[in-house]
Amino acid sequence: MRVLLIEDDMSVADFVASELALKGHNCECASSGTEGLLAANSARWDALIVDRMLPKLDGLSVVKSLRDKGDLTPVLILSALGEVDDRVKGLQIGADDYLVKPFSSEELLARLEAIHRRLAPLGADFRTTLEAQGLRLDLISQEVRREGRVISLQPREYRLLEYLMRHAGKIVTRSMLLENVWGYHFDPQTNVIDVHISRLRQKIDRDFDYPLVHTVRGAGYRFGDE
Amino acid sequence: MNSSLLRSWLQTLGLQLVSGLGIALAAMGITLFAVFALVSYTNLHSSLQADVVGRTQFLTEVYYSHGIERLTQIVGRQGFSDDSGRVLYFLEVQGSEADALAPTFAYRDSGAGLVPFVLSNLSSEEQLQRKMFAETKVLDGGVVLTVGRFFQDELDAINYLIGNVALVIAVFWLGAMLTTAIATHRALMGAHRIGTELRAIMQHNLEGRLHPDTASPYVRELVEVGNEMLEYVSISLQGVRSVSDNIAHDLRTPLTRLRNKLTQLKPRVPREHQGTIDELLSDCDDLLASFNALLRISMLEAGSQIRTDAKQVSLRVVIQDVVEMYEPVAHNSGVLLDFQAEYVEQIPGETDLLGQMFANILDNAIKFTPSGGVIGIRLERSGVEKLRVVIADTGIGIPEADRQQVFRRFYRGEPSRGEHKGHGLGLSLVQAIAFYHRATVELQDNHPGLRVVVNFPVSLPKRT
Repeated sequence: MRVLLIEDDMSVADFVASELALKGHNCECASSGTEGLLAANSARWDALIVDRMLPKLDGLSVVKSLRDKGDLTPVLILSALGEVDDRVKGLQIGADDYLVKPFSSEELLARLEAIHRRLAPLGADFRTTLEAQGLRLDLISQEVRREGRVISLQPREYRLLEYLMRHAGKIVTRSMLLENVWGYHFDPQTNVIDVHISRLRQKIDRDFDYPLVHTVRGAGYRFGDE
Repeated sequence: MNSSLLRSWLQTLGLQLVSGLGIALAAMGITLFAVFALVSYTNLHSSLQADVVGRTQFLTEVYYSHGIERLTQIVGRQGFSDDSGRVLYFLEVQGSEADALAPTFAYRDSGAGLVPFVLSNLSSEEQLQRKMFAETKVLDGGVVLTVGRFFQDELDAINYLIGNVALVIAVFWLGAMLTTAIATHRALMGAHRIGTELRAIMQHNLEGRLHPDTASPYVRELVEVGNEMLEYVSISLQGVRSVSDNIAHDLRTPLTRLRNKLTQLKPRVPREHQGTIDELLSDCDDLLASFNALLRISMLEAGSQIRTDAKQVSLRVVIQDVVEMYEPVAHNSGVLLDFQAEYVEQIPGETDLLGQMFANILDNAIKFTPSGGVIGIRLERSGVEKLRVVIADTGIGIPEADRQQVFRRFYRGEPSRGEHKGHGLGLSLVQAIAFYHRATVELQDNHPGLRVVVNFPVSLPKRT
């Protein structure tokens, strides 16, 4: 993946670049809004990571001017601001996701891959079943079978499994699950998501030889093998 | 204080002003009138007296210098009225042939002064009762001279004048009252308009300003001062925001670095020390969570409240989601969640914040309710303009003395220390989110346990 990072804090930029490089991505950096906008316009990128507070031209303005020109490159906004409407403002302007500092490298990578896949070939969206490692999820009848055996799931468990399977082999973080499966963005004080995952595991993993839902320490969960 | 209350208060003030002025003006008018009347009557009295005394004097001199015949010539014997018809003379000569003449008039002698003086015409049945100012003087030789002076005409004239003066004063008073009432009404309506506009600015948009279009210079001054104040509030608010933003930027960025460096360090340290790095990362996350919550509380408390035209949110759906989210957690602790909701209006709200609020309340309730307990969650209407969310547990509760304390930042009740995880900001955040939604949070005894009651206003005061 070719990623353009627009970030004025050199330490954060260095961290992001080295983490992306570790995963085999190619990352270039711009340290101001105008420089970033220029770089974004002059080449094709798979994704942009844009800090909100930038010298010369702020991050939101960069995203807005890209979107106004019809540039649909996935954008992840980084921000030190956590105010109520900040996230909404960022998403309204056309960003695909919003991450508040500080973030873990896993969270950043997981979200970056998620927004990148969103623009992947449309064929994926016409699937009527999801299938991986013997687990089959019928998107129309909402029936779940593992090795031919029907598993009965609650609606929320079904959506949790669907989200994990759509991102099979990739890490999904707890806050990604909260945002996408429940539709909320806040800090649940207890590890609510873990409890739901363990319920799901009880149903799809307990009676089988090998588990499908893996815990990734310090990051989140992954469906199936990497 | 709502708008109708403000209005009635202003009207009362106006009424007080007008009635106060009215009483003062009326007292002034009555005094003026009384003085005028007193002076008029006194003048009449002394002029009448001077007239009567002068005539008596003159006739007495005639009698002593020219004798009774000349006097009789002038005044006639029994009664004589001069040409003006205002003066009447009576002359009696005691012990003479007076009896031979039939008296044509009889009068009652009441001495000198302004007296009711009954004059009867004896030759006819008609009784003439006219007031008269009279003086009787006994002269040498048994002659009794009486000079009477009618004054009804002058009195009528003075009464007429006084009446007109009273009328003028009354008309003046009414005019003054009307003008004052109109002026006061205008001024107070100006104040009322400012109140209404300020309320709208407070509720909808702090960047709004008062309209300067008003005739009254006082109201205009008030508008100017009000706008200056709003400007000041805006600037301070921006100040608070930018300070918070800067803190956010300045503190979170190094924390990000710290966390990042720890993450990168982890694979490079020997395996036996990696656990320590995990602990450090976890501490870092706790610190950040506290810091985020604190920042969020400050921002919610410093900022303006939610706009009344914000997106409508169903409390029922939000609570249902949170209950569903926490159900497995409660189940694991052996606690039952019992959710019942009426269908009620939506309210202007921020879904994520409301979710956070109910999550915090429910999280606490589950933490402090022992296995086998029940947590009741109710959404119901309370009164015409309020919705109430009640979250009642059967746990350990909070002693009454501590109930206000628990909203303080970083306060943690005695039983929660050590035993349970948490940064002591949960309820502070609940209160800040409630404030943002113009809601109130109350803690009550559930006998046993705790009842958290959140009251939401439904229809906010409309613009008038």
